[in-house]
Amino acid sequence: MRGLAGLATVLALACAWVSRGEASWSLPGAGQSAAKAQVLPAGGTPSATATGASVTVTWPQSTLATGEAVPAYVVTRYDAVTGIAQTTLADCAGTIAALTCTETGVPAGTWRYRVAPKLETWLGAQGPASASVIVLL
Amino acid sequence: MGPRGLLTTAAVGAALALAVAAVAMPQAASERSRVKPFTVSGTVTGLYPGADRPLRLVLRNPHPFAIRVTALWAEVGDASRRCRGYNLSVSRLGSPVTIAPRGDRRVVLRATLLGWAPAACRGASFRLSYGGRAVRP
Repeated sequence: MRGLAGLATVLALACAWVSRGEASWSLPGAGQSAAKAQVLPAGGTPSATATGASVTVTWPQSTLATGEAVPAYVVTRYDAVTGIAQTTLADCAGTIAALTCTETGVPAGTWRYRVAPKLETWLGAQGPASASVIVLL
Repeated sequence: MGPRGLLTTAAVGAALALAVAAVAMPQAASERSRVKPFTVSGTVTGLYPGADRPLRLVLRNPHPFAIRVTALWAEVGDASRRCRGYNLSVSRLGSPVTIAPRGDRRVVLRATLLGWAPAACRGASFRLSYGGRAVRP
């Protein structure tokens, strides 16, 4: 009897071991695709109007490839004669979340403005320069 | 039963177990190797630093029986030498989903481009390789 019981135990263990593969039956998943990051467009051509030492700059909205509007811009003032970039003053300095800004305290001279789209930490290319604007003090 | 009887019984049992395993295991192994994976397809666009975008996927069950997908993940490849895959993170499947025989199921994971993703990632395309696991419910 003990021999038969032992044999039954051995067979049961063997069957359990063999059927183990069925119990953990699974199948894998597979596939490939892509995740694409935004392409920043170049800025549009701004227009600039001087009133005393203030220059109001306006530019067209830039649109991302996904159809969304660019949320912010960076405005840069250039010396129209030398082409050298200047430090843009308040309130056109830094990141502008609008389509216009008015730079105040602009020194006398002939200036041009360029605008670049900004998306979080990414900065797009500057667009064409505005027509020259003359500030007379 | 004496010690000789017990030894004989054990030997017979072991031989039987080995015979059963020898017949069954190759079948189980070959069954697993023939298992077709469920397929994953889908894409995400419009990524930019800090953006969290839906990665809409379609899971396809090629089998004539329902499957339950218990795990799904994506490995992100480098977009370029200057835009590495670690800049993009993709969530995993939140809870298991069942797919009908030869059916499709849509699921949404989240793709997030890190806030400090470099400018080299503008317009980049990351390769996504999907993996997953499913069981027969």
